[in-house]
Amino acid sequence: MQIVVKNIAKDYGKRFNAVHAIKDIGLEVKHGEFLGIMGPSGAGKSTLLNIISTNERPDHGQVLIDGIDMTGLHDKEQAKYRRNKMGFIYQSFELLDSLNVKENIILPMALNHASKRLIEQNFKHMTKLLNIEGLSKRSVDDLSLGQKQIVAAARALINSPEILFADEPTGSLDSKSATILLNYMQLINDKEKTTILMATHDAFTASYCSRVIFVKDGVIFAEVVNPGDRNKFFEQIINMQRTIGGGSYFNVSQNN
Amino acid sequence: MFLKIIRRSFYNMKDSYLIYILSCSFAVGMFSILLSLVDNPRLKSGISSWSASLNNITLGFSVLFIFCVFVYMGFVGGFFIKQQTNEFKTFEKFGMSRWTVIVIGFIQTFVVQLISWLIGIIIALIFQKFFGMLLLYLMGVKTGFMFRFTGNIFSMLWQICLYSTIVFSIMNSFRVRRLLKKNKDKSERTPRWYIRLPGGIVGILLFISGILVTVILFGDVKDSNQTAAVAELSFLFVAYLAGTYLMYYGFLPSFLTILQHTKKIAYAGINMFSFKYFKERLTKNVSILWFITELSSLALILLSFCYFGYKSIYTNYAYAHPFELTANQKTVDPIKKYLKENKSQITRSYKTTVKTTVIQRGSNNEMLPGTFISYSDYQKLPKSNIARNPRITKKEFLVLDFGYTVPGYASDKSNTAVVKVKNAKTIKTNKIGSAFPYGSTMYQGLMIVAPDKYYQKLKPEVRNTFYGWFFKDGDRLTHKQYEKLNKQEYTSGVQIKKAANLADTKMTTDTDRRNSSDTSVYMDSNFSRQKNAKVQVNQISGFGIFIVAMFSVSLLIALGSVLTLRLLLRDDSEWKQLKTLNKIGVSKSEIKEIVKKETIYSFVIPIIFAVLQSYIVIALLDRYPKTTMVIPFILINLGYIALYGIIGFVTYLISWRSVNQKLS
Repeated sequence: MQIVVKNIAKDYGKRFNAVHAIKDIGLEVKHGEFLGIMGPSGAGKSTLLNIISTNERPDHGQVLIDGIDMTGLHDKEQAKYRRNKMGFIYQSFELLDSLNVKENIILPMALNHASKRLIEQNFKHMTKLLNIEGLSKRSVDDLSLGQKQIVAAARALINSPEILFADEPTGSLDSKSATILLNYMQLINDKEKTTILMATHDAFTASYCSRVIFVKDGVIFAEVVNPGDRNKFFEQIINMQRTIGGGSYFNVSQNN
Repeated sequence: MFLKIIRRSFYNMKDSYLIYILSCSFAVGMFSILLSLVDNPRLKSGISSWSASLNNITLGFSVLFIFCVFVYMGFVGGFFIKQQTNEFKTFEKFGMSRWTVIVIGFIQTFVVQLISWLIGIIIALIFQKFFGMLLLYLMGVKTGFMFRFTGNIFSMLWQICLYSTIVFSIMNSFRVRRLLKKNKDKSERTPRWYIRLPGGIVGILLFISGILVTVILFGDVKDSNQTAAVAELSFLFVAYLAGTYLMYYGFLPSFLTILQHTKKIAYAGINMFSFKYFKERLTKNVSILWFITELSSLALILLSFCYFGYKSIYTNYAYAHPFELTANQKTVDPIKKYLKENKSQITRSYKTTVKTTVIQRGSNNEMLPGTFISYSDYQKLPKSNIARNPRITKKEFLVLDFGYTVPGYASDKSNTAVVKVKNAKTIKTNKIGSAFPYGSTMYQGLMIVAPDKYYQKLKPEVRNTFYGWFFKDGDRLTHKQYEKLNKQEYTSGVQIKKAANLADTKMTTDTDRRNSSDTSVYMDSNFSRQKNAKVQVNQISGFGIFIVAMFSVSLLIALGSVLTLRLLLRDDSEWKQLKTLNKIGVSKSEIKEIVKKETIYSFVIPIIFAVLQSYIVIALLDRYPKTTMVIPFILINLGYIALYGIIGFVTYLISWRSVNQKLS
């Protein structure tokens, strides 16, 4: 799935109170690429992700996925596209409280009217892979934050999406859970050639990507490409964050 | 800062507040109009004959109306406080004192109540004349209505407004306090399936048994089996109230749970979410749905009773005044004189001689005057006057008895009238009617249409002649002439001096009106004038239609707004779920479908249960001959459902608008 973003812009608020979340961003994501989007809070990472994933419409510009202009599609067609081709992992999990763990995970397949047998088969496979077999009957309210994120990831991946959007997927996870999730994302990126777009603050998480773009004040400020060595890539990301002023966290480490 | 919080809360729930304020304002407006009508002089002068009763009735209805309004305000006002649970708890967590949060709740309610009352009183001021004119029009009173809102009424309304506003604000303050104290977890709030399922089964059994008992009630009411009917009614009361509640509490959620666990259905599209979502919403609104079902059922029963009341008044009127003017042998001369003086244009006139003697009716052997008319004379009467009676041949008897119930005949299953006649053969007939050809007020006791031979042989104790007229443009009798005809000199009646047996019982004429309280004296009306009765019937019917329409519309608005508000007031978690669905690829049209289905279920299920329950009214009213309640009942139900459906449709539009706004 090739994604081409052409000169998109997005403002929030009206007139004098308007905030320019995205100012003229152009971007190309190749099929099977694992792209990281980094930047300080309020830089426009989530807005960019939401626009590409058709959850928001840009004020200007186009988003082309495999040559289809997503911004020109009707809400209903966009929703259908999201359901069929995309998976989502959000920092706030976005799980449905009414449904239990199993129902949350299989929901995208049920929405696609997949057969009962296939749903059960994929569910078993996914829960085994993410090691959450014991959670299937539990209520979402009873899960820890880490468990919730794994369930959200399972929901995003059960349909074998062609594009996976992840907004701060490891934000609520401990390092072990984060590593499991990231390894799996890398695995499906390698094997299934799933295109992944991930917004993150965390340099370690970003180091799993094949390329990272840095957004600041609504524009792409820089980009770093994975040279093939993750440690080196991690260093490059840290350096870039220092350059753009990634926040107090990096300043503190610098002082230390 | 507090004002900002309050303003923000009004803004966030503007749609819901608007619905609540409009409903309350409408109710307050109607109450104010009713109250202001109590001492309106034009209304009093227009219906002088029963103005004192009208004042009391209007005042009574005003009190009943405001009581219902207070129940509504108290119940629905709490929705807004509950909706802000998370907000209030957050304020407290941020360090706002509990007292301050309670004051915020108090001020919110105070402002909303005050605005509702102010708008309501303005509505009353604007529309009082319109409603007054409408009332006079419905009552057929031809005087103009005068706008009148006295200082007394204003002062009374102001006091009610102030006290009720303070009471409801305090009530909501207590609600806020309770919310801040309460800390229940979700599992505690939603009872488990092993409680719901048996409850639901008991509920459905009770409801079905209620329907079956209603069918049995039909038979028992028809057979006048009062003991059984009372027992059945008591059972129905409990079965329907408890059964409906338990069905909402247990049966419907269990049914949705079964659907949700049936993979073939649940795994298809949005069903997986919608079944659970509906179940959660249903579980939260059990009491409200139950409340609406029972009130709708009550409304349908009351409307049917009101219709029956109107029908009874009209039928009684038609039975009492078949001619435009009726006289007996005592009043015929002065009436003829007045008609001549007034140049009244008589179109048709009738005259019939009758014989009166003592009779004994039915199995209880009650002694009464019996007035006989020959078959030939009966056939000469206008068809319209006798059309409601069964047809007879020249050899058959026809017994005309008062009212719908025929005491004394009930024990006889074949509905045969057995009438013993003094010095004549006992009459046995199954031809029983109640349309007295000269009007039911003109004679006491029974009237019997007898074959000519029987009539000629009959030796009466009193003879009389009846006269009836129809006119072009009315009888033109003046009020003075009308008053004169009511004088003592025209009074006539009979007295029965009872003995051990019928043959020794004697009947004499009695002309002294003072004796009318004596149970052995049967006084006839001197004359019967259709116009007077017609005016009163029209006035009473018009007033009834006005009150019933006012109550029905208010009740519908109240019930509709309760459901609308419950559908609109989704909590944070419910909003979040709908948003998440949209994010992961559920289209807006599918979410719209969920909103549509939710609205349909919330409106349709209560009305189905309400109609099934209100069917009982047919059993209670269908005992009366020739009064079939089925068609009016269906029409009343259809009318109610149509209005209720409009509210449901508007609710759906508002509900979807608010969801769509949140999704966009």
